Amino acid sequence: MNREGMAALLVQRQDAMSRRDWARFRETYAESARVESPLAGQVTGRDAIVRASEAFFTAFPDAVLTNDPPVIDGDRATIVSEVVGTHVGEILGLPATGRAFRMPIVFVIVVENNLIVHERRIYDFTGLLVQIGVLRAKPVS
Amino acid sequence: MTREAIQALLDRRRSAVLGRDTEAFGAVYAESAQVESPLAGHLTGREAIMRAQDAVFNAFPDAAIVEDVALIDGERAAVIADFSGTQTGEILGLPPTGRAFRIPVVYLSVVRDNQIVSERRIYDFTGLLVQIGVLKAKPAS
Repeated sequence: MNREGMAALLVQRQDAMSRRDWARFRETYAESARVESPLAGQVTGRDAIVRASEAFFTAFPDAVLTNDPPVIDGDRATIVSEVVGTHVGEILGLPATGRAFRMPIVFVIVVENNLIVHERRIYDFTGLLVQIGVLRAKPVS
Repeated sequence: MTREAIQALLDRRRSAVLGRDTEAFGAVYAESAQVESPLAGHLTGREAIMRAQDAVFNAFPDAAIVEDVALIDGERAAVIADFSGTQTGEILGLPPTGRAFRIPVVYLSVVRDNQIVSERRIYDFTGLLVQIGVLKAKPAS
């Protein structure tokens, strides 16, 4: 896949995510794609990836991702996003806390045949849970 | 800079980390380089970057880093690494806990004239502090 094709695929993914257009979002992943995420765990398959993404935006319906320009190298890319949102829906079986969060997240993406086949998400997951009030952290004295 | 030159620079940084060589680590960064790290905060200048790295070497003297193949896009590079070790030295002014950790880390670097001029590091910082026992996290409810 050339650079332009890769960039277009990443734009479609981001745009679909921003619009909560799960049909277009789904199109960017291969049928057997795999996503590794601290929140969702290991997710395999287009439908499961869409369900996990929908669950995130159900928990944080106002979530906004602001992306830096991607680093694209052949069939791999990284995207750094600043994510902000408010916890107003259930997550991990826990009720909404109404608290806001802000964090950077890195998406590490591998593409084959014009589709995402693997995606890894790296971020301060524990910090997210503390920010939204699901976890409480205190220094160990 | 060529792709090969950027890769060589990243290889030097990895070797410096594995060799606990603060001088060699610092030489990879420009005199006025900027680093943003959850642990060290905003650092400006090679000296500050070296001091921060020295603190990491002291806190985690057995630290190991295993890097994926870097993504290189023009003057930007992304390195995804698995970082593990044991906290046997002071960190953030807190005494060693003797506990081990393992986290993925992303280094996003901008390279010019054979040196890193800016770098952002993203990882589960709160999770790291919980793993080494500096922070204690528990469900809020």
